[in-house]
Amino acid sequence: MPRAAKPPELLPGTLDLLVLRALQSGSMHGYGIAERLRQVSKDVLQVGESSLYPALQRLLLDGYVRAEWGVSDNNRRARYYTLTAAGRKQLAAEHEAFERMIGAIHAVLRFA
Amino acid sequence: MTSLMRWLRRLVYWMHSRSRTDDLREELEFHQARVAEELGRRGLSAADAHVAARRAMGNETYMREEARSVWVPPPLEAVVQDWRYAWRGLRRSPGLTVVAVASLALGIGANAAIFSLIHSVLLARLPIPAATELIAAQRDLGARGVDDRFSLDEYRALASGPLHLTMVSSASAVLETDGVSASGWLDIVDGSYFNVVGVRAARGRVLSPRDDSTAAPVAVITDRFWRGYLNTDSAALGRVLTIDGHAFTIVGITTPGFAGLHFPALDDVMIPFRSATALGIVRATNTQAPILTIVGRRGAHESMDDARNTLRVIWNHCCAAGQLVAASRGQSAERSTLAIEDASRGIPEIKIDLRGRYGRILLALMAGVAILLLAACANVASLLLARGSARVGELAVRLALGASRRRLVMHLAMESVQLSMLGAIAGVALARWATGVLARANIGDLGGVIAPTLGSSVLAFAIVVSLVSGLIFGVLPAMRVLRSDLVTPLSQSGRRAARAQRGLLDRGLIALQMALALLLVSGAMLLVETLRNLKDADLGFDPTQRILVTSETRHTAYEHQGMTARLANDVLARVRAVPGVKDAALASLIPISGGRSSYDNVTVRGAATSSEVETNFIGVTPGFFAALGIRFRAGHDVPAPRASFGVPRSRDVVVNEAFVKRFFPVGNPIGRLFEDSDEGDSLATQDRIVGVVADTKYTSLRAPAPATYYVPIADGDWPYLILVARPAGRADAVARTVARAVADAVPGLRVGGADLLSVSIDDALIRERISAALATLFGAVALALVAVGLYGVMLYQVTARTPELGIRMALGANARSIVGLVIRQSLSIVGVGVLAGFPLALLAGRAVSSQLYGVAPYSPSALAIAAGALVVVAIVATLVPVRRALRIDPLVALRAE
Repeated sequence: MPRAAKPPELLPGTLDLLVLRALQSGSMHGYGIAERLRQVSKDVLQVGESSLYPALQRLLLDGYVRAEWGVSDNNRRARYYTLTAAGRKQLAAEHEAFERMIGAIHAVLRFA
Repeated sequence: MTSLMRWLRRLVYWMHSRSRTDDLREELEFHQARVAEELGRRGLSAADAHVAARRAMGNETYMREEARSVWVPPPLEAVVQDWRYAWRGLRRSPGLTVVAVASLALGIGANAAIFSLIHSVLLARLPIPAATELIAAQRDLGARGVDDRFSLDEYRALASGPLHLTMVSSASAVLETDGVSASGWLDIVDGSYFNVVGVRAARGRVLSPRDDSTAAPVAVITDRFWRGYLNTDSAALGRVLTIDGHAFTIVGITTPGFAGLHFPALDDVMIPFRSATALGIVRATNTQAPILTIVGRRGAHESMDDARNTLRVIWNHCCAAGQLVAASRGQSAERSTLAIEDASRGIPEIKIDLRGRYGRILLALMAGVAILLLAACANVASLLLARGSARVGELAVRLALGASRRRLVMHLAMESVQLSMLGAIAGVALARWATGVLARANIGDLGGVIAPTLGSSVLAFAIVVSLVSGLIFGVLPAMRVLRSDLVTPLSQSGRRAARAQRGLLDRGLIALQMALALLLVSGAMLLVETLRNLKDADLGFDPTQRILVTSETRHTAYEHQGMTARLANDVLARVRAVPGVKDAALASLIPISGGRSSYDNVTVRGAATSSEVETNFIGVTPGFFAALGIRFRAGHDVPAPRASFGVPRSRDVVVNEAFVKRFFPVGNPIGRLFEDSDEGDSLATQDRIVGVVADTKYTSLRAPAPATYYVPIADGDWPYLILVARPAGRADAVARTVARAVADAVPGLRVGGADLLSVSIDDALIRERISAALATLFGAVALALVAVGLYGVMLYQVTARTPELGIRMALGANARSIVGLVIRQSLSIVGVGVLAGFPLALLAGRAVSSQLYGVAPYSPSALAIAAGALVVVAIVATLVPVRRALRIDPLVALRAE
């Protein structure tokens, strides 16, 4: 996997938000989530397995996602994650909080 | 709510832990396969893609652990898991576990047993509520020390203040129930006593201020007395107890454990002061006689200083006002200062000064067992190291597979904790057994205070000790893990190098054990030597087959000097009539064994030493020297008792050789004169020396015989008179008859049982015997530990050197040289240990020097014997490893290489 410059570090706490957002469009397995994030961010966000899977476990524990075994597009058993109702609510809340934070950071960068 | 849900999910996860772990593994495999596919699409071969994907994924185990840790808090999980692993590991090597636990059990058990002794003697508080608040008053007499006796006037003056005070006057008394009499300790108390002390009745009632006004003859007995003398009679309340001939009714039994405020607490009966004075049990001729101990309770928020100041203000005020005029042996109240002391550990019984007698030796023994424990820890550490090295490979593999170092150290720590816990359990059992044995054994005055069960403080001590020792012996193996790298242990040569290094540390630990064992063994030798010297010490008299009967004249009609001659003549006539008695005599004191020691100031007119010298004297009847086997050097015996009153103007006395050397170094002492006088007495007695006898020890076996003179018994009044009888045959055959004869001769005299002089000499050596026996035991245990440790290490060394020994054998080394090789290595460890032990042993000798007698703290023979014992133990412990070395088959050894 060719890696250009060192990918920027994620803001702490944003991985959960990104995972939830990726799942908004439908259920996905872990690899799919990682790929999705990479593609959408144009290779800027390369989520390592060592942070992705603990994040998924955290979301499972919090009840924001649900996991079931299914069959992948290449006919292998894969574990699919789906947003729950609580997950949607959490996504909305975190999204809003994130926007507020980014806005605040922008404001500071521009005017401070 | 959400947190509750989280915990529920955690619980479900925990229950399905295994399948969830499998899920995760499969999920990660899937992920990796997809990464490999992706790489394959970019042109890598299938094999290369697989490898690259693995590399990209990194440490999978670590990742799984991380993901798991979201569900199960890692510390908890790890602890439970490590606990199980460690337990399995210990069960897998039962030999090591048994030896390690046994070593620790010996160390911890010995510590707990000695600590329980120290607790009973030095630390235990009185079993009363809020014991720390208890205070006792003392009269500070300056250079003369302290005195804890006060007069009734003084008590009343102090009690008028705001502090809660009470008083107790203690005395021995003859207690009689249903015709069976025994000697016991009596506390004469006022009505506020139980209120101030805070002790309640387990049955019946305690004494109250009402008993002060009625002066009824009622008594409260202690649980100890109830069990010991009344056989826990359920109908004890209301029974009549005769105290010094006066009938008292038992109205209550105190709660178990309480036996008065003294240390040692041995009190039996409490009676009201009012009734005791009314019946004449307390012969308070006036309210100024110092007969009471004053105790009290300071407020919960009041400091010692507060209480001291409060009482001193009252004391000084009363002294200034002239209210207190009591004099204590020439010291007036005005001139003495009031001292207030903490009494939470009991008021020290001056006559039975257990703390003074045993304090130092107990601390020395404590140091001894602490060293023993250290040796046991070194032993376990070296055993664990020996096993750890067998596991270096295993640990390296675990590290390589992704275990964190913290986890491995944790795992080893668990092993140590489990070993020390097992050791603590076995040790406490051992200590319980040991204190039980001690409490039942004949250990004289110490026997009364030893708690036969281990209290909570002893258990807490054992737990702390076991944890600390677990830490000590667990640290080395753990450090090894922290330092170790992955590669070296996995390669053959690396393993060998590690072994050599390990050997150094191991041998160091054994050498440390050797040094500690040398210290303990040589210390024990010193104490044993001391005991033997004291046993063999020339007493100046012959203690074998001598009967002693002690009678107390205090508070009887024979207390006064004028009665002594009649008493002596009556008693001796009776006893001499007993068939089988050859000699009999009475004395105010029997050296070493009993009686009240007396001293007066001796002046020799016109001698070079003109000053007064305090000198011991003993009142005796003629025949005393013959009865005790004291040899006459010159002259003849004291005259027979004749009734005399007051201080005689002149008399004939016998002196010992030390006395002659002290006062009449030149010329014939017979016929010479000296004067003796009590302090404060204006009249001196003119003494004429009529005989000189050999020196005898006086009150101490250790001190050299002091200058002593023997006066006719009728010339003084003595609180105790002791009969010594020498039978023709065996002493125990006639002992009881002799005691009965004394009691029959003088009705009303308080007569104790018959004792054997040899027994009381033995009793005088109890401290020395206990310390010598325990120190010997510790030394033996230390040697056993050394043997086990050395055995383990040498066996390991032989195994590690198998290839080398095989090569040597293949090259033609004979059995002798192989044996020499192994023995040399073993002895080199002994050498290092002994060299390191010498300075330690010298320090230990200095530390116990005050306990020694007739042996120098730096005793070359003790050191030599200890070092010799170590060498012998080392050789015995090396025998099996040597045999193992001889059995090595060169072919097998070389093939293994």
